[in-house]
Amino acid sequence: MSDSYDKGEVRTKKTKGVIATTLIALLKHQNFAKITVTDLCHRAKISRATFYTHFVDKYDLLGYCLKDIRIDFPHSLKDEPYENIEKTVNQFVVQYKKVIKNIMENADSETLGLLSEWIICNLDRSSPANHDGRDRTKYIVQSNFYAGGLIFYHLWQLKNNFPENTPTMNEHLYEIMKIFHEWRSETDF
Amino acid sequence: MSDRSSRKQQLLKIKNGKGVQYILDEAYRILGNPILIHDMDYKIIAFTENPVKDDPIWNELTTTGMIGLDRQLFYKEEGFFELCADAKKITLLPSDKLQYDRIFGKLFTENNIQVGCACIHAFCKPFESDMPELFEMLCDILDHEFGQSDFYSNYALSYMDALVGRLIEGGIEDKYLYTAHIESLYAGLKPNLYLAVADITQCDPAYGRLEYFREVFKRIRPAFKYAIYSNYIVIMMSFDDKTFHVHQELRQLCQSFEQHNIYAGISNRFENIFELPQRYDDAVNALNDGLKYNSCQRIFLHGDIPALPLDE
Repeated sequence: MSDSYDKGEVRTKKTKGVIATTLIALLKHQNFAKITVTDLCHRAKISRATFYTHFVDKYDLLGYCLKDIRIDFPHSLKDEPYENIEKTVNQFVVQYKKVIKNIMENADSETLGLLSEWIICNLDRSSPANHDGRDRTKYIVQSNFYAGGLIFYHLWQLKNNFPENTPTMNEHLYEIMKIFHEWRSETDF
Repeated sequence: MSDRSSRKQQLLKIKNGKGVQYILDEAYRILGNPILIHDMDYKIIAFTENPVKDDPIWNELTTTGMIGLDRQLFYKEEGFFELCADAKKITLLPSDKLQYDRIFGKLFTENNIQVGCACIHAFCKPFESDMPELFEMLCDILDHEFGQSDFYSNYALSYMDALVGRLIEGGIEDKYLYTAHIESLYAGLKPNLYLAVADITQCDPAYGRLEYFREVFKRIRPAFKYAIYSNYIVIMMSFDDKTFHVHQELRQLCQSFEQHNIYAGISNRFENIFELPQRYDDAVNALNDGLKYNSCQRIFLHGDIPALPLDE
């Protein structure tokens, strides 16, 4: 019984993988806002019923794809999660420029929410073990602040076709983060 | 004449109107492998003779008349339902999962309503390279036979009523098991869906006329799908564009509504058929609120109804 259950799981994962790969391939050439489920099904050679058996809509699929795309924060971030994050995220955005640009261009609130969740999720992965009580609230506030700031900063960069080079981007973000760190230590959450 | 083109010619000579069993027997003689047809509930409709006795699925279908849940779960785990749903017409199920190769073909009545599946089994001899093409031809002949038959047309409609009802009531817990069924609902529909409910109770005499009006609407807009659920005619409408103009797109339906004193509510746009319960509620609310606040119209859109009624 457990064997056949696993078989079903593997197959489901495989189908989901095919659909996710198709979305990423489409994102290299097309805006996420303009991609339709019909396009995806046509490209992946699956039926609409198969798509909706696995995903609620295209946002659900994007969330699934983002879950698999991980920003690999350096090991040192485990001790201080926000130290140098701007560099890591900048590098990542530059590396996946086309895909990120196509996700962000004409993005609606649902897409921006997904991106924000994704950054927070990646921060979670690289942050120190447990946050509870007051620390947890402080952590959530900070994560949301960083995620929102980073998204809109990169949205501006992408819209203007990267007017700044990567070291300058890092420098600007570093300045902002420094101000935030100072403010954080003064206010004492 | 080569064997291939000769078989093609022989298939083309099979005449419609003599029944499904006649077509299957003739096809068995020409193609040389056993064939069966089952409906959307995996109940047998017709089958040919079969000299091979060791296939458990054939034996189950022809002796009990249906495929049991255990077998359906096996199909689900192997992804056969998805394979069938993903195919436009023909699917080859290779023998690495089952003992023999088999080809499935979807069978439709008119108006793109699926009535069941035909399946040819490589029991007697292996499939040749032209078998998918020949089997597709056979399925077209069967489609024509089903389309001509009032019995099977009504049979397929009743199944669609049941499926739409089950979806609206949230009765489908295992989506995977129903992939092929749901795809049969999508067949022929464009990407942007709207659900309308038509209320005929204002029409005089309304009693027992749901079937009649469904037929009337079907003739006006054959591309839409119509089901009967809870005293309403549920209409699944679809358009290429994300927006549509009621008075342009539904002009003839509006005229028919006017003529017979029928009112309808239309849901917001959706794409996922699993959203049917919410969309049905939207359409019913639009209809009820529309009748309450604005009875000079015939069709009420869910998006047009104010969030808070003006008199409250």
